[in-house]
Amino acid sequence: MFDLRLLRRLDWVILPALILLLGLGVAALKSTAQARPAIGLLVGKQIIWIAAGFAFMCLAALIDYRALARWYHQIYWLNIALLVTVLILGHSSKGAQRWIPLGPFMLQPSEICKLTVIVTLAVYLSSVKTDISSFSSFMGALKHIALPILLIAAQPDLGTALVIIAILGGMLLVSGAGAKHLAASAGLLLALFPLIWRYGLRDYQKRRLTGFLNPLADPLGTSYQLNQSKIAIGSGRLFGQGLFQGSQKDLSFIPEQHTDFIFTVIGEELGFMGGLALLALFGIILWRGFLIMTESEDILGALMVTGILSMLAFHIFINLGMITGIMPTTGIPLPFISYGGSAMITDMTAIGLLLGIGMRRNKLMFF
Amino acid sequence: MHSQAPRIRTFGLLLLLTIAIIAARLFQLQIIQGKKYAAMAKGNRLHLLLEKPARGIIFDRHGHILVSNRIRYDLAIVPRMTGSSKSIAEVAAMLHIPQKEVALRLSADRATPLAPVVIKKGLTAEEITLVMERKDRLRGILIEKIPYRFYVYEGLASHLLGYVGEIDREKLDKYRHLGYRMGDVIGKTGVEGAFDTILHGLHGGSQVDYGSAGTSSRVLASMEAVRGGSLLLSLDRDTQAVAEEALAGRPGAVVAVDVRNGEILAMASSPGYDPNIFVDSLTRNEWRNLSSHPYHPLQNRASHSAWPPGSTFKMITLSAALQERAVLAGECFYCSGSYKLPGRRFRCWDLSGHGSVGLVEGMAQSCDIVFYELGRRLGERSLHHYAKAFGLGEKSGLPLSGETAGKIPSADWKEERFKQKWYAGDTLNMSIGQGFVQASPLQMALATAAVATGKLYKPLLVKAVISPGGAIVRKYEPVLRRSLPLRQDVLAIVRRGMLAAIKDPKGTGKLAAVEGVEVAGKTGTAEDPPRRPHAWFVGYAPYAAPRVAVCVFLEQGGHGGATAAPIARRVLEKALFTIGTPLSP
Repeated sequence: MFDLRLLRRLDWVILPALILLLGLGVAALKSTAQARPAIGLLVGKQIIWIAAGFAFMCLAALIDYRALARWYHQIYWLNIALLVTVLILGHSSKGAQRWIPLGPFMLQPSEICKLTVIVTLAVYLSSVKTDISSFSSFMGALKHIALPILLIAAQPDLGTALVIIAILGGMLLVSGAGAKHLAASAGLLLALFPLIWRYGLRDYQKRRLTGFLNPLADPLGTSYQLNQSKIAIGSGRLFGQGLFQGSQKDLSFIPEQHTDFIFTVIGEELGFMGGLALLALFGIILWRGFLIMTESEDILGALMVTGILSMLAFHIFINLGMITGIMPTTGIPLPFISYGGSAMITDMTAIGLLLGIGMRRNKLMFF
Repeated sequence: MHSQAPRIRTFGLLLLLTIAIIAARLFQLQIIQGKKYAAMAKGNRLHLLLEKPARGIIFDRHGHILVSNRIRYDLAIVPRMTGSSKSIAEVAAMLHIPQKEVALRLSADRATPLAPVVIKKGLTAEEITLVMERKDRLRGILIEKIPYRFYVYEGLASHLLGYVGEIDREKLDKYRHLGYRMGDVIGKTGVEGAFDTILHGLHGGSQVDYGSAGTSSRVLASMEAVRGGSLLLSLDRDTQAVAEEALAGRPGAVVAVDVRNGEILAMASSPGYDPNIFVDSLTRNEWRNLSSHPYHPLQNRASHSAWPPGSTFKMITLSAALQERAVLAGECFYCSGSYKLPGRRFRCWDLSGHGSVGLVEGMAQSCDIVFYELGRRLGERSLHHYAKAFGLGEKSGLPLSGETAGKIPSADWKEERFKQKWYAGDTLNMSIGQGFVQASPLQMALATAAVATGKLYKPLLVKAVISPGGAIVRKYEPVLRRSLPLRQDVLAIVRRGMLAAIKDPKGTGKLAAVEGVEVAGKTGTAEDPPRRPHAWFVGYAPYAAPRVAVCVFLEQGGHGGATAAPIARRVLEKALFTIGTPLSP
């Protein structure tokens, strides 16, 4: 069944980088918990999520990604069914309806959706028989993601909708879609933006989105939070205050410090060097992933890796950009670091998929 | 993939760029500007000073203010900023607050260490002056301007308006994205609770950077608090006041509605309470008075509780029998004072018997025998069907949480609930609104309005939302639930019976008669042995061109015709006058 020889092709650089990142995340979580005992319980839970994530990662690595192509329709429609379910009987919180209660767990279908879009879009794009740069195949790709994106935007989960657009963008770019079409659709998206702004967004979403540019848009919320976040990170300077030594976290100015704003703790306590180390670990994963992509045996694998890398890079960029005040606040977590089960399992599964594709690279060794 | 080499290179470059941009930004924040931020962090210099919003105003239909806000000044301390305990001690001494109390308040759990802690509420003008004179020396001492809720007419419409209190965790998590904050005052019940997101308003405040020495301060950004939206109710203050006055503290309720659109003109539940006492936390004494009161003042008897409606239900039984052609319009019945079922005898309330009675007289004199017979002919299913058509046994759609659906029984329900079969006697009880039947005064008022017009409306309580600037931002239109499944000739006979109940010399509802206006109505006296019966009256006026329907209920109030009907008279008089009938312009 599973060929042990595949293990020889396993990328042994990604795993240590991943483990270091996870360790850093747990340490940061533990540090925020110092000020708020309620978060203390979450440290244990996060470790359980990590363990579950490893299980999913192994599973995803074991499955031959080419087998997924056969289940294309089932995967696509199961995903749609989950997204419809969450809209109908989902659990709402903070003004959005994103969770399906499953016993003690909360399933977040929009997280699963990122993976299913990567897999099914890769299958679609690699199976296009005609010219990939033609208009019809480009429209086919758009059609493919239209339904999931609309369902996610309806929750509303703006952040995930954007992640899926980023995944689409990365995969279209690499697959060789028409440059004109790419440029035109980017232009169209920009042109549509005023309409989306006028009719598609709620007031509090608008306040958050503009808060990073204009302190007056949300002076008591986004802007205050960002200023505090910048003070915390900036005060870390070169080497930081030392792990667990930060003073800003106990001011509790940030309601989501253990999730989206977790990097403020790392920035304050480990300083610029700590931040660079974190970026280097992310960079290693992206770089090794990029190698797997270029050496992949087939277009299907290469495109799946492209989707995974697009997703991770977008998360990293938007999350860190948001808390350093160069990107709008959209509620996107930092992979492997932010607290949260659904995101952890999704990201770990993605890494599993990536490793699995890497193990099945074309350079087969005969010894 | 080789044909795509340039694309792949571009993609790789993009990946690299994401990392590089973030690294550059971190370099800027931590290395270039690091010194500045470190100083700000060290001095806890950035503070958020919040200004609480005032809640929206609640108006009656004519624009009279029912609920507004008053302003109070509280003294608060930001412990992190005070530096030494000396200034705290100084302030405490100045305001005659015991040191121990200050310490206790400071040790209490709070949102964040930078959140101000209130140590004295409601400062007098002298106290404010005292503190302001020393403001420069007292760092971290704030005077906060707090709007608080004021119920202008104290207990008027207390159940309907509801009361406010401090937000709890659950609500905070739910509404944080709308700008709700810890310590906010939110509506807990009634209109205050159901329309809280409209009434609540937006916080104002400023982000202040207190310079390094703590003497200079710079406002980084600020916004004004925005008052919440105001509500224009359909309620009429004067009719409401008359209803409450007439109830005079007896347990009971009055509901008056505009028959043309379901607008609620009055909805009184008695006894009431003064919602002002909830604004600050309740004193022990106030709570004891409320909780140990024999009549439970917090219970909303108008819409949140249900009782057997007694003979007021007969308007439904008669409608059903005529519509189903189970009885002829001219049919006559003989009342000997009792009605026999195999093995059981049912009595008319008038033990000596009404003699020979037609349908209209049967309604007027509320002869039970007539309705036993109609009920027997109809059966439980048919009665159930028509009671539902009149809106009983289901929530009417009042926009407040906790409304009762009441109860319209059925054979299946009884089997399920009591594991007993349905007896013929149950049908007889049901046909005179006794036994398992339960309805709220609100449901009965709406059902009466439906008799008057043939149309059942959803109750309309809030007519419009008004912005702080005075513009109408949202209008609520009447909602028709259904037209009654009855022919015009059916309704005409039912209405004639109700007119006779007031006009006829032998009518049970004579005390509801209003001078100069023809009133149609029906009394009810629901047995509740061994206690006194519940008194009911439902009616509408004017008979020919209906405008107002009313339902009066007195818990253990005795005979409907004797105790409930006179209250209905007063309420109808006022309501007709206030919404301007053709008869009394």
